[in-house]
Amino acid sequence: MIENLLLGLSVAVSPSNLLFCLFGALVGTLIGVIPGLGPTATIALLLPFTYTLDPLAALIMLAGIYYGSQYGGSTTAILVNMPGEVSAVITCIDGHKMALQGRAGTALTVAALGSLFAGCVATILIAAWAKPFASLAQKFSSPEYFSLMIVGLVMALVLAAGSMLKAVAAILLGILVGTIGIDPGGSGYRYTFGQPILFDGIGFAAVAMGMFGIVEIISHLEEVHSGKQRIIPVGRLWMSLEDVKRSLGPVVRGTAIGSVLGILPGGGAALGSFASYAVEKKVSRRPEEFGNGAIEGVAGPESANNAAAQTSFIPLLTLGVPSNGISALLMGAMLIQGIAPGPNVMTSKPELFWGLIASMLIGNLMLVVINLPLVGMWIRVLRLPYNYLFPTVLIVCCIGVYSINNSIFEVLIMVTFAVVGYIMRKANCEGAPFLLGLVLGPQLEEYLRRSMLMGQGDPSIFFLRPISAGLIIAAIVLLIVALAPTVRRTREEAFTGS
Amino acid sequence: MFGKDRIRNQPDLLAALLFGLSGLAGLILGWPLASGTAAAMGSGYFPKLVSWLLIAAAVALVVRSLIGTPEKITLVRVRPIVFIVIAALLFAFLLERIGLAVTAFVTIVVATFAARDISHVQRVILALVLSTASVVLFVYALQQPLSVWGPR
Repeated sequence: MIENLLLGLSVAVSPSNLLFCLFGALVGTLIGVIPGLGPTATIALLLPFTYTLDPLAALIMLAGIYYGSQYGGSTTAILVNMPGEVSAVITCIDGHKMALQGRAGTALTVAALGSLFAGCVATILIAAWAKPFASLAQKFSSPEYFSLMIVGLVMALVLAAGSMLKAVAAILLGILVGTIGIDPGGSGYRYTFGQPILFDGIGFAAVAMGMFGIVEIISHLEEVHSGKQRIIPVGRLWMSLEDVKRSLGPVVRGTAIGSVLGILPGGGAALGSFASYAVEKKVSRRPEEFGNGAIEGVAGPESANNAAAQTSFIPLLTLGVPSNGISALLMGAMLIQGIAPGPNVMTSKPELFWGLIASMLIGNLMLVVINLPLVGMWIRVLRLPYNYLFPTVLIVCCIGVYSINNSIFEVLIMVTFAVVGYIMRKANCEGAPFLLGLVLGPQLEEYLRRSMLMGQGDPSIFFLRPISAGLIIAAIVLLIVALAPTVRRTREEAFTGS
Repeated sequence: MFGKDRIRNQPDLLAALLFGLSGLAGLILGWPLASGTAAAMGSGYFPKLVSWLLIAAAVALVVRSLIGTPEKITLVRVRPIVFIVIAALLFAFLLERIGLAVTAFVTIVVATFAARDISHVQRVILALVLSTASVVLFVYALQQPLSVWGPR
């Protein structure tokens, strides 16, 4: 493992890779700070530009944007009580209270340092788990992959905020939209209306930008009624000995929680932070302090969300199965480069695999510097009125999406799915399951088709093979557990942060 | 039958409509595709399967909308969505006809109408600044093949 990490480091510290890492970290922090533009939309926006880049550089940058946005999101949460990122919602609760008590600097420091610890530990965990995961995958054939994806989708359901039924439907809709185009066998034209432009299907970058970028703008405009927000002065970036003592436990626990939850399909940074807050509150000797500036309420969740953001890459990098919207987009980036994600990537392209992992260590270090001493820079960004920001975001999205193929069609796709995304939002339906369905649909179909071919049309093939049967049973058990009344209540509590 | 008071959960009904109509479209538009059998799937097999599942989910959602927890659709303001969508459509319509510079300007001006509290002066200045910056960034810095003035 050590030699592999060293190999990765040697590749990751090349000047151009370092530059892309820095760029990703800066952009990530920036969009984490700006409300309304999240990592999903940004990664989707930059995806087309990665075509010309070296594959490792592209992945380093995109990954940097994701975990960078976790850092940036906490800055706004603490200083302005506005989460720049979903996972920062929890940080608002105690973080902003600390700021109001004049301890903004401390809150920022514990958030950044906790995230650094979590990021480093998560990186080591990824390095350690990579081989076992990949060798497990060697035993996989079509039925196992199909069952694994089903488990993944079920977990995405269970762990999605809000109604599971709607999440299922969203996934199905994503899969259906993904079937548009020429069928895998090359013989049928599905839903193409004779238009050649549709033969390749609907590009997910345009869809992602419409559903996440444009819809965010519209939603924000619906809610916000101008007025500048009050930004608390930062004060000293300092933690007292007492603060450090109280934060150690939460940071370690948060890292553990986040690392585990991040791997689960459907998991990711948001779930990690919510779970950690709940745990810290239960474990604390002073639960009444939570909600009034308890440092544990910042230390734990901030570590958890960073750990989860990084371990969420494990399923993609080792098994080739993306576990959330962000990894789905990263899978897209790999496909653009002609790299088929899967267990083979580790052995056939070790510099890519280990270089990416090593870059996460470097990225975390950069982010601490970007977020602590340079926090003044971000405060200036926060002062920009949203009225200036949203047209910027809009025009960047339009031009960016056009640049994918130099095609107006992509812009129209973006607008169409912005409308669809808007309707879904009004219907209290999350967009991420849709994106997951869109990206996984073609694979799901292929594995199903091959499995049925192998089993000659008999679905029992999924149950006769041991690994596949185990996975399907796990999926069913998960569903039953998630539907049980007590578990439902806990889910709701976790997602409303009460 | 679907009087406003009978529907307890509006978002669920909206979701049911979205998903149900999509499933129906999937079936109707996919009618001519060959289904084949499970062992030898035709191009229509999977899409139709998914469409049926969507319809099933939609039916479940309709039932839930009638008996579930009461909930209303929140915060629908006309301005933001209308102007953002129009701005983006204008962009699509104009870009290859009159080039990036003017298109960006028009798009931004229209988009700013999505917010309530921007003065006309602010609109124009913002549009000028952003369209100039876009041209500089995308055409000169990033070397994208976009025409700045006039058709492609």
